[in-house]
Amino acid sequence: MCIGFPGKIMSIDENNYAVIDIGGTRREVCLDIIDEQVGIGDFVLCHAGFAIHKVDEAEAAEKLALLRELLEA
Amino acid sequence: MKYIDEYRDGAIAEHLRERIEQQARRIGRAVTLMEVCGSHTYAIGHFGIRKILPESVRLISGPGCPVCVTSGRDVETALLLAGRKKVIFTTFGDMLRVPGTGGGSLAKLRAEGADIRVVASTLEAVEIAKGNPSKEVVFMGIGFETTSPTVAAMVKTCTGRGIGNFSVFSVHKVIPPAIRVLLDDPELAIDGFICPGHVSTIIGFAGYADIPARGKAAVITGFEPVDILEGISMILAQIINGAYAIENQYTRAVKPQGNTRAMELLEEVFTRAPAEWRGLGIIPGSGLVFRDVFSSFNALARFDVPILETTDIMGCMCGSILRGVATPHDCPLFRHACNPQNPIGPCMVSREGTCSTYYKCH
Repeated sequence: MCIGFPGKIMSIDENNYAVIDIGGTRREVCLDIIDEQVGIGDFVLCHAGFAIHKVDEAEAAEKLALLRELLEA
Repeated sequence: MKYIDEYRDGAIAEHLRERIEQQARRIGRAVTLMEVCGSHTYAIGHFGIRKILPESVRLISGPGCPVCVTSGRDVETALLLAGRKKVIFTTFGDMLRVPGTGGGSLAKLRAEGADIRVVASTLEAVEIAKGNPSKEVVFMGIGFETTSPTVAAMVKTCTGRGIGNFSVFSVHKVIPPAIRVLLDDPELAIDGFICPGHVSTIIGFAGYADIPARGKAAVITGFEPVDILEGISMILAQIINGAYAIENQYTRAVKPQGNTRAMELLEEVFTRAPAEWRGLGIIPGSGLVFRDVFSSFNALARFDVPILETTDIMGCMCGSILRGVATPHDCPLFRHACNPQNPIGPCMVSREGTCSTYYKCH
């Protein structure tokens, strides 16, 4: 039930709701409980109608590069 | 899809599987790892993780499915609230078919005419309240730390906007006290915990300190196959080195301090209280109840609900399965009397219940 999915912020309205894109599907989520500044183009982790986390893109890219390096080692 | 597909890369997964095999050989004995998140239970079954691991690495499921750990008493209380006149009862869909101890369920009650509506978020429940001012809208507040801040946020919104016909039946629970109960269970010998990903998005590393202190591995793990295999490999590395710590595999979604804003909201609206868990009994400090300031949102007080006497469902082993001391195969009802079409216990109802996952994947 603690399911979360990553989506890209497409727009943010004056009530602090964002439209996010998840692989072509659009959903509206509330930004009231996220604790970081987010903007259009950012990826956020969403759960039960709320964005709960801003995906750390640099961290994710670095980690994935490390995993891929292991393959070549 | 970004942040999903990359973590389903077969070549990386195979590499991690080989690493796990080498690590398991080095350890040279059987190890037991427990996941305490229903989404992990589902993902491990769905992606066939158990089938590709060496035999000596045993994965067991713990009390990680919120619907499953909801006590029979709380299910009966939900039925009582949902049956009240003028009430629109709103709930996440998982809860609908969970059987009460008397054989009823929200789905059956709805078929008999009660106004019970499935929502995907508290936002929808509040919209229903706004659209039905002459009705009382009760939301079944279920879930761990991932979910409870969203309920806290909506309660605050309702306060701000003067929405008075919305209340919550809170059976919210927090994970760390349950982990402590599992650590103390003499029947369980767990070598490491696959710690929940999205609960940790909110709580961070806080709450897991007892695990390494008791000489067990703890790795916060994501939900894609590469995440889960890497998490297992990190646990095995801790066991090999005898160096136990809280480690984070799921760095793209979990910060050490968690989501501080969500935690502040949760603490502002709720306070800790004892809660009854199916299988684990009453655990002090593991439930969330409204603070006095927000007590008008407490559905139990608003509708003056009595404390119900309930009994266990005859023959159902969900309790032992949730503690990790039995698997669905140990239950005489599994696959026969109890199946997804006719679930007897809650672990067969929820998509992420251990019995439901075993039914489909094992």
